[in-house]
Amino acid sequence: MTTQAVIPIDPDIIDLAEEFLRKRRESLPRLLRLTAEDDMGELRRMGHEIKGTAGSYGFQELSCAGAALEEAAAAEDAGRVRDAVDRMAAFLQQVALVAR
Amino acid sequence: MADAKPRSAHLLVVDDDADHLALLERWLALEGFSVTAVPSGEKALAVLESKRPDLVITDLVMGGIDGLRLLREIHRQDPVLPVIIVSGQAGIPEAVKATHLGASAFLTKPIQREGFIAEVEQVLADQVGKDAHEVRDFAPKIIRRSQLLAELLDRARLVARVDTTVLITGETGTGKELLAEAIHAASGRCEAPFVAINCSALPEELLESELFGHEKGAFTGAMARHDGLFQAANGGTLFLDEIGDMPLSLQAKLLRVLQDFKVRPVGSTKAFPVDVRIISATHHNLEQLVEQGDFREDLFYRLSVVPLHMPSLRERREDIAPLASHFLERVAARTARPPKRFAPDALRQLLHADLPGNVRQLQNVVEQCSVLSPSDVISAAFTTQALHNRPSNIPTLDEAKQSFERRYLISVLRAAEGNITTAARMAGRNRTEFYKLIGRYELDPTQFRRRKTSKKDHAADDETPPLMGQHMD
Repeated sequence: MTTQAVIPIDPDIIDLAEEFLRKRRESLPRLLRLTAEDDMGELRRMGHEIKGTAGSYGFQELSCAGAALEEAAAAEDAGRVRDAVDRMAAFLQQVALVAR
Repeated sequence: MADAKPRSAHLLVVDDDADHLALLERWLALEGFSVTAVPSGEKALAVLESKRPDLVITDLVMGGIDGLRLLREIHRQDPVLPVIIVSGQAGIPEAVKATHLGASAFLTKPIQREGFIAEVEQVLADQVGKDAHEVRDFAPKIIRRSQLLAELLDRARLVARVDTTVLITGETGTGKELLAEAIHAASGRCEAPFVAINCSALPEELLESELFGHEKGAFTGAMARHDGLFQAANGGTLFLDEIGDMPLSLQAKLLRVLQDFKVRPVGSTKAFPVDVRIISATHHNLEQLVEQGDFREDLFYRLSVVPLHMPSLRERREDIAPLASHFLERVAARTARPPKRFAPDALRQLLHADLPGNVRQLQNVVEQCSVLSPSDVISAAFTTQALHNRPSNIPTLDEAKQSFERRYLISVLRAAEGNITTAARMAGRNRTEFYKLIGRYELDPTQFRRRKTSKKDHAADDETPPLMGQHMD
């Protein structure tokens, strides 16, 4: 998996974007726990939310991972759910923002 | 952050995803909008109780009250408030449903800043055209949101261009004259006069001379020749309101005018050609009057080449809220104060009220509430009182007195041929008082000077004018 480590962001919202990423990082342990518990309903809901919101912030990769999580959870495919969560975790660890 | 020029529009944004809510709020604030952001449909409804935004932007999928339910609730209270729905799904069924329910726009996440702002501006711009009371090209004075009225107006607009007689039916207070004016304004006759007369407001002889004119000496008090409304409307449109109340003898005379487009004034042997479009209106069922023998069948067919029916207000309750806000703004404009507004429960009461007097009654109720309410938000106590105050069709005593006084002054001025001394003497007032009276009703005595008056004619001054005090309807 390759991620764009540095993402240019609209300077008007860069503080909000940082806050958004911080909260996503904080919610990673919860995502992993839900994955371990196979809570597909909640994973699907979270995937859906991340897909939309990350997309609006301009985090294309995270939005795609959210979509993958939503789909995998809907299909109750534990393997693909784990892949999607890993993809999110990798993105969140590597990403850095610069003002566009 | 870029500097934003403040804008007057106030926006309510609803999303249960705090991060997305914060983003939309920021984007809007950057454009200078005043924004209230809330995390649920329930909170949104609470905000709406106290402040009406210019636009609501809501997420579709939320726990509790979701976007569609919020949309329905909003429009139940305020059918003209625009709502943009934002959805995480590009699902066609939701979009169709939202649009069907009256959403102004349906956006799908992820949202792009530029596209989002453009959409918001577009919806607000549309509102300026609409919300400033649905001003459209045709019939700008008629406020409409209902499909029923929209369809009627479409038909009327087409009819306007065809130079045919039109019969407008509908209950009292539905706006039949407004429709007639709109048809005239959209017709090829718009540069020529639109002349309206209420056929039920005048006694038969007066109605006849009003319509067809009279020669000097045609009857007692006819001291001058009078052209009549057919001639006054020449080239334009003559609106005959309450045609169902026209006496049978005059119906025959009207029919002859419609057959050969010539008018013969009372007492004249000569007929004058006129080019007038007739629009008539009635709250009666004319077909029933025809069956009863109270209305000429041949005249009915002449008049109703195109029938148009103005729906009652209870058939178009969607129009109540925009009408109410229009009347509130009119009061505000008159009093040079910011418009008041109805509390949600007061508006609800209006929306469900029995309004037999239709738009006219609604106008009275709204104006009364606006004048009496000490607060800017009119509570249900005032609507309750105004709705149960009095039957709508009956004018107040002051209204009735003024209406009588004006008609009386016109008949005196006409009898005196615009001579103030004579008119004042007839009315038993001195000249100053009489000037004040006619000033109050904006009557211009020179308009009644049809011909030079010879001294001999003043002999008639001592006669009792025939039109006094007889025609209170």
